Amino acid sequence: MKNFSIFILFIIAVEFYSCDVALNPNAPFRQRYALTGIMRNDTSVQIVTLTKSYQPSDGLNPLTNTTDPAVIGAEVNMWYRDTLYELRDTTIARTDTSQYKDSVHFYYIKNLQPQPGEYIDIEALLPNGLLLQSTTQLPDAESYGFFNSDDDRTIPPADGRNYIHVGWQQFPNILYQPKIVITYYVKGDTTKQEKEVPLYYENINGSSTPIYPTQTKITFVDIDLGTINRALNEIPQGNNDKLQYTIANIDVQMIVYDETLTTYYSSLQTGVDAFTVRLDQPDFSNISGGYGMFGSYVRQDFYIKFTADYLKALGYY
Amino acid sequence: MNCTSKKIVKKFYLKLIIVLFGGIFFYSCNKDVSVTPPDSPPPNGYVFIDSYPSGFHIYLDSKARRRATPDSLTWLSTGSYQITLKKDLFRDTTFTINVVEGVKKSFFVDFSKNPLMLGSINCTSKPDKAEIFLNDSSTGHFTPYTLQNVLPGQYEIKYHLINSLDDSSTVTVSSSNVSNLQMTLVDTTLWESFTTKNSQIQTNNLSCIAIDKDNVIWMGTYDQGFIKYDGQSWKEYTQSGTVLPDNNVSTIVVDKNNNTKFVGTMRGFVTFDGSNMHFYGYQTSGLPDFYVLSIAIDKSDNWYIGTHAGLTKVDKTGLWSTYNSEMVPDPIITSLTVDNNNNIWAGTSNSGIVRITSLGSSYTFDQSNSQIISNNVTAIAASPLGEIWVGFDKNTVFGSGLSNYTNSKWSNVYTIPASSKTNSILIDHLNNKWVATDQGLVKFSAPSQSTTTTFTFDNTGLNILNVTGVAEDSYGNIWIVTNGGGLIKYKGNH
Repeated sequence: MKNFSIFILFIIAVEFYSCDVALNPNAPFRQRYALTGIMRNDTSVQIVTLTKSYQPSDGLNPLTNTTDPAVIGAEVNMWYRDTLYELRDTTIARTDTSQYKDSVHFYYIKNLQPQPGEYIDIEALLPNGLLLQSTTQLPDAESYGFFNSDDDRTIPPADGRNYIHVGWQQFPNILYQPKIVITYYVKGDTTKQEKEVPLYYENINGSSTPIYPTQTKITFVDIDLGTINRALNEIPQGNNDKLQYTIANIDVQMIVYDETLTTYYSSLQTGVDAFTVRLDQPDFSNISGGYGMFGSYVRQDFYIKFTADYLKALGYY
Repeated sequence: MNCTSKKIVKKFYLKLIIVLFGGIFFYSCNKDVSVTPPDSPPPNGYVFIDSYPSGFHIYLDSKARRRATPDSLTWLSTGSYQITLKKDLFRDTTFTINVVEGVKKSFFVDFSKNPLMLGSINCTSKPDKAEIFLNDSSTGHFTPYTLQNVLPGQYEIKYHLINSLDDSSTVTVSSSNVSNLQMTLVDTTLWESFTTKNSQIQTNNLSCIAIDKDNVIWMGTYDQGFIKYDGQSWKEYTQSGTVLPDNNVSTIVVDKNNNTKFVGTMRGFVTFDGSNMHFYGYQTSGLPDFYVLSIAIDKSDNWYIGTHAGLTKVDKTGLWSTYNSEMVPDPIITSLTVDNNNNIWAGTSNSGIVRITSLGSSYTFDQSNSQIISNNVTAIAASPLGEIWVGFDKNTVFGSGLSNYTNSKWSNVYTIPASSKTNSILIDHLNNKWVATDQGLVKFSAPSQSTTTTFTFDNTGLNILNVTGVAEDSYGNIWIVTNGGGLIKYKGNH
């Protein structure tokens, strides 16, 4: 019986020892590549970046890597209206406060100003032969007809409303990013200045906080004249001589995202709050052969004039 | 239970425990292991594409690549691809290739072997039978002839013909197209051309001409002062190093004694005796304006200076006098000439023609009292027979032409190029009229003047379009100055 007990103990010990396996949370490192570029219709300079994944020196903390993960030496081509555009690589001095100390690498082209509704294809052939590909279609938000014809064009509105209304064309599955600014000049200076106008003010913790428009699928904004007046009155910033300022107009600067950017921003906004840790954070990419995002947006502007009487009443004449 | 039974039961339990622990042992260590498949390497298909000629842009599946033949496409997957080769002037060529990873393939396209890729040059000349040179090599052919099967590109074609100036031109050939080259060769038995390309003349932009008794050619320019050409050498007189007030010369005249050359500019005029140059300017002389447009010397050696602010006479004693508006109703005196009777004929910008007699009286011929084509006179000349020939600015209402005053009557001729401006008129020793216009040179042959010949690029091969002046030497050669085409000598008037 004694031998039997010793045998049982031996078996149990072997069993525990044999199942003792070291646990490593890191999967084997594999190099991955990402292409990022947002094409714009409001400039002829288009920029694309190529980066690669890296392994932190301590295996866990990404900030321990101080080598810029940019990929240099790639051949980046874009096709627009059946014409090849060869992107050039370049560097600029780094001005950010990231852990990287060397210059910022990117690829660019200076003579491509795509138009709404057009397609742009991109290919990046990496030095190791990997090919990253993608396509974007700029939103078909042509300047003519994008904003509604019955939008307010003067402040105050002719029908006596105490708000202005600006609406625009609706596209399926598209996000809009409106920004409303008052443009003005300081006398003696030809530089155009901007004062952003919030949608409204909200009382948060006892203080009046401006609420600015964010990405939205709604196709209009209504802005209270009181909000506009408040922004107008804030322009002098303590300088009571309003005659030193020339108010130009209100500029509704509209960014219309393509489907890629819409999907990306939507993925960021899915149920995120300060108290939630998401374990299934969505990975979004439209790059074939790698990661990243190749998208586009179209910017359109809508201008609303102030009547002379209106500005005069606020002391700007 | 007896002792044997107990042993049997004990053995049974012992076996049961061993089997149970063994089962737990194997089961507890049985783990599911998830393994991500390894990354596959990038495709390594390789194609080398070359062509004759080289430099064709390579398109892969209709997309341009940063490649031109000879070059390679790498990192291709196994499969079929459509290759298109494109080059300016050539037709596009498309073919399909099959790529196999790990296998290097080469393709060569010889475009010279494909007749559809080639073009031709149809060579003609006036006169024909000129030898054709292609890029400085004789083709052995003579005009008219079509050079066949020429690779697309740019070629220098030269024609060579005895008694004609060689001429050449660049011809662009494209696939399946016929390029035409027609050149009029300059007949060197009739014409001689002096340009910055073939002579020491300093500019091709000539504004006026006069020839002295020694057959020395004096030419005004638009940008280089004035030039003397004695048949051997060229000498330039500019603002630099002289008192010439401006390099834009508006008129040049030689006096009958051959002593003095008068050179009018936008800032006054100079006299030049071959050695000394004297400047006459606004406010520093009796000149009523900076801008001198015309000069004439009468038989009594009085000078007449036409300006933008009136007509001024300088007599032999050096006395300056400007005609008032009753005598000369228009301040802008564009042209001047002196007739056999020593009358002065002044062309004006807006008031027709003013005749000032040697006795000092004046009469103005304009459209209100005479059948002249226009009041906007640009050129005037007097013949030894007493005729006055007048040319005008472009006239879209009455058409371009000349007015002729003979036996106290005006008549008009319209056989000069339509919508042309007359810059100068020469009446030669045979009484032929040579009319310099901005659309070529027109000759009215004596005696009837009804036969006219218009000399242009098409029938001379010379850049004779914008003719600014014309003069005759003592041998009967006609010298022509042009704005852009330099100096031209016509030897067919003897």
